[in-house]
Amino acid sequence: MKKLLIVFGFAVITLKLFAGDNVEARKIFENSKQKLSLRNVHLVLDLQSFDAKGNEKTKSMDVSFAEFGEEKKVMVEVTAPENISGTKILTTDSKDQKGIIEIYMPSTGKIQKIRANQRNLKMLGSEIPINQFSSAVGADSNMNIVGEKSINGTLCHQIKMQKEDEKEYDVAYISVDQERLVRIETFDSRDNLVTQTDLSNYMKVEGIGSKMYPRDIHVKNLKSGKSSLLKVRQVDYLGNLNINDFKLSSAS
Amino acid sequence: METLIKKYRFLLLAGIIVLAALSFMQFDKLRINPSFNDYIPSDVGNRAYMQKLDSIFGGNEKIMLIITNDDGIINPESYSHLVHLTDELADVDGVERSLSLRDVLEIKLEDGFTSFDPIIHEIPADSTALRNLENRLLNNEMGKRFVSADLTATAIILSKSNDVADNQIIPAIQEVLLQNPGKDQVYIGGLSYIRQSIKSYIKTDLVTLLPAALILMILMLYFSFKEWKGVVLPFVVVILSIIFSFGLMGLLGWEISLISVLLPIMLIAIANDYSIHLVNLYQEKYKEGKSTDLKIIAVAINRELRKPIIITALTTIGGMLGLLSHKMAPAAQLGVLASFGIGLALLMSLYLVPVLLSFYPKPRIRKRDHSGKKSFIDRILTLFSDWITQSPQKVLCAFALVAVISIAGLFLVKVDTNVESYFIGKSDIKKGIELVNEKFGGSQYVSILFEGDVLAPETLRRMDEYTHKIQGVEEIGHIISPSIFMRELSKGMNTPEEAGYGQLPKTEAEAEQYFELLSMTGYDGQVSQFIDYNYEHARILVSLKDGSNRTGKKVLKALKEITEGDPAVVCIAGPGLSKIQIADMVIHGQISSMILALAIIFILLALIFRSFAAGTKGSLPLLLSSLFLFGLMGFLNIPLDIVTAMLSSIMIGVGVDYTIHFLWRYKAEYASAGDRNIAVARTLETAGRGIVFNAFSVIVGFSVLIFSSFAPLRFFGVLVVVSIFSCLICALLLIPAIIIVYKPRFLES
Repeated sequence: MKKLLIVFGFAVITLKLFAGDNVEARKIFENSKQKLSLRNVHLVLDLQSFDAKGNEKTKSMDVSFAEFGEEKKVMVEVTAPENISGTKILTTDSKDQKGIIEIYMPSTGKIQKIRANQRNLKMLGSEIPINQFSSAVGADSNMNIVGEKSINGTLCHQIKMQKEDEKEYDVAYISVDQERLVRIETFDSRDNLVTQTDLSNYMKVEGIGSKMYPRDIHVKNLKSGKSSLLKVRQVDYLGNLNINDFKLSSAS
Repeated sequence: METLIKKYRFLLLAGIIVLAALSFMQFDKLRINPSFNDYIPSDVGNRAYMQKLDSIFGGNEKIMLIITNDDGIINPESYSHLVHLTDELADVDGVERSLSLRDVLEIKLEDGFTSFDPIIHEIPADSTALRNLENRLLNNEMGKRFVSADLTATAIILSKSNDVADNQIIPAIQEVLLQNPGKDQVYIGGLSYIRQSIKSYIKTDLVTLLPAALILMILMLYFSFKEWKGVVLPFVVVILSIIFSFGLMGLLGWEISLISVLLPIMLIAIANDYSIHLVNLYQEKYKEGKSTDLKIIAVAINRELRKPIIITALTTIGGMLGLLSHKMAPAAQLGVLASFGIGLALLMSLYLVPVLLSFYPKPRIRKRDHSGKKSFIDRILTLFSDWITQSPQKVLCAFALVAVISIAGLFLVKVDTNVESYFIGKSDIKKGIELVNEKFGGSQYVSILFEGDVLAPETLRRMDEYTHKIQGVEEIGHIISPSIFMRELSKGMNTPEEAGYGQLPKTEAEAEQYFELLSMTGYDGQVSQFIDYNYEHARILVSLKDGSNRTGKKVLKALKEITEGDPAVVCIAGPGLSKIQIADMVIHGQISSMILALAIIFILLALIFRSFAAGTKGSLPLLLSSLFLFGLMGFLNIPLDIVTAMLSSIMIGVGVDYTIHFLWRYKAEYASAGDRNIAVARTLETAGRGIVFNAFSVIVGFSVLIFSSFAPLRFFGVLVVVSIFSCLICALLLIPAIIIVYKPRFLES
């Protein structure tokens, strides 16, 4: 999911070519992105999170992605469980403003604001980094094909993505035949695998041509032992966007 | 015996060599386990609750790395080193959490933004800004845990996973420290490190004390008998009994503990006694000149000494078996292994020693000094004889007085099973323990576990109330409480002007939404140590300022009083309280083992002398020595611990021999002289001398423990010397005085 969200970022910014970048790798990656429905969509999903001991928490959410000019917005509304139901998280990115995350807490009726660049930000109680809602993330990575590997029986291109000034890197697995994003792995500076995100069970998004979306996104943090399973129950194309649906107010 | 020597002596030797080789092969299975917690029953009390706590919150044990710099720890170089170490240590297998100053958060609402920012971004160069940072650190609830009040030390606190062994995690941590040197001094603290250190100290003790005791034994034997035969025969018996006992230990899968260090020392001190008597008699027989054939002498010494040797060995084994009543497995195991070793030493003394003796050629024994000049020991024994025959009542009164004074000392005996007190001198581990306790409020934690709707306002309010009360308990160092954290969290949700600032959430939903917001920031890992994943359990963690039993008991009592009647409180438990459970087992084991040992000795004495009175009178020296021993411990402030709790059984088992030797000889002397005073004097002159040498050989054997790396073993070494000496004095003064005054019939019939 983490890398899927990176893709969201990629989808809304102009592609930049970097020195040392492998054209073929970027082309494959871009093709896989093109197949995904990444903007102006509404998702209804269930998020199961597990700690290292296997304890489980389940949340249901509505998530909407939209673009209004140069402003990109992601609205998350928690619909279950009861104690946090009604909590809304709005992430806004624009050229002139670094990402801002606003959280409406129904218990207090107040809106708390957090800067999206704050490190470690994650999607509510999950292993999914929330800062990937920001459009700036991941845009400046170099890409290289490092080989091919079979993932769950599907032969995939292995594409290494690394920022120039960082030792940490990611590896994306994109199926050779359908050019679908199948897995994303993140590695620390010592080449230790930290997280593994599997995207599977792709479904067609109605109303937007041949765009697809994965039904199941499974993120495992191998360091903490925590994991999250995101099950998308419904994907809709948002044809008529209303900016008022992407605003929070303390009265909401 | 004759047949054995003539026909089967090679077979016997071959058999023993094979058995010794088989036993030696079991050594591979021997493992050191320095923790006594593993021997606490897992289904009851603190240990059972700790398992529950572990299953909810993960590892309860903390390993603390203390980094010190006398010029001040808040400086760029030290901080950079600290951050680097924190990261590196987080990657060590078995480290669940690695927290340091780097992770101290400042939660605030500023310019309309909630921030959970690390309190340190960088160490300011400007002195005013530095002082400001230092003040913020010292006033930050979380910061107080990681920096000392004098700002000369900082801590990295590691949460250890239950699944990882000390011998894996500690060397890995040490390797990280080795690979990342800095200008500051780094010390390690925490129970895991202490246990690992105990393990290496046990190894050191085994490889230093064992040879030292053997060398002492060789020297003592050589200077006693003036011929190598007198050294080799007892030495072989001792070495074989040690090999067989440790072989049995490996075979049974028992682990080497701190107590196990006593086993070889005990065998060195005790197992040679029987062969010493045999060698002594062989020298006497050879000197008499009736026969110079060592085969004939070997048969004769076996025949003459078989009965007294068997009796004294059985009584010693009886005393050792008293240890079986200990609930603490290593103590009971020591009883079995020591009894096994002594039993084998008895058999080898009776059969192997005569067989080995039969192989020797005729010896050249130096003539002894027959100038008639009395030795120091002889003069002392004569003095004893005079006191007893002239004023037996005074002697008895003197012993009664000692008994009364000792009883007073009994009330001063304290029990301390704190592993922190095992270490002596100025070692790094001692320094680490002191730093952790003095500057960081201790590393031994106790938890108050709550169950139910732990985020409900009423539950949080009660936790808050308890937290305030706990802050007033003098013995408690740090408090990690959900209510403190909630109050801090509210500062990120409200401005100081708002009513909710620094307050607890008003509803359960509000509390849960606070945590959800926190979980978004990635700092939920810090909450997981006191509130579980599903908000069904919470705990208040408190650290003990020191690891003593006194502190543990006081804190437990205070926490019980504070939380009394709270239906949500499930238990109060933690590694800091294990010692109390161990202490209860030590006290119970001490009392029961002493009673069992005395009962066994009583029965054996009654059977040997066929008299009930022999049982009571013969047990008196042991009772008095026990009183004296514990009285002395009380007056000298020596605690009863897991090692010193072994003392009474060992003392009873070994010390009774002197009484038996005395009574045995007195009976013969009285039958010969028909006069009590003469019989007592003769017994002291003859058997008394042997008893003194016997006691001294035991004292010398045990005395090496005084050089142990552990305080309890050192105390044990001192106390066993004192108690054996006490048994010796009782056998040489109290027993004859009782005989003169009370004229026991079982000795005169």
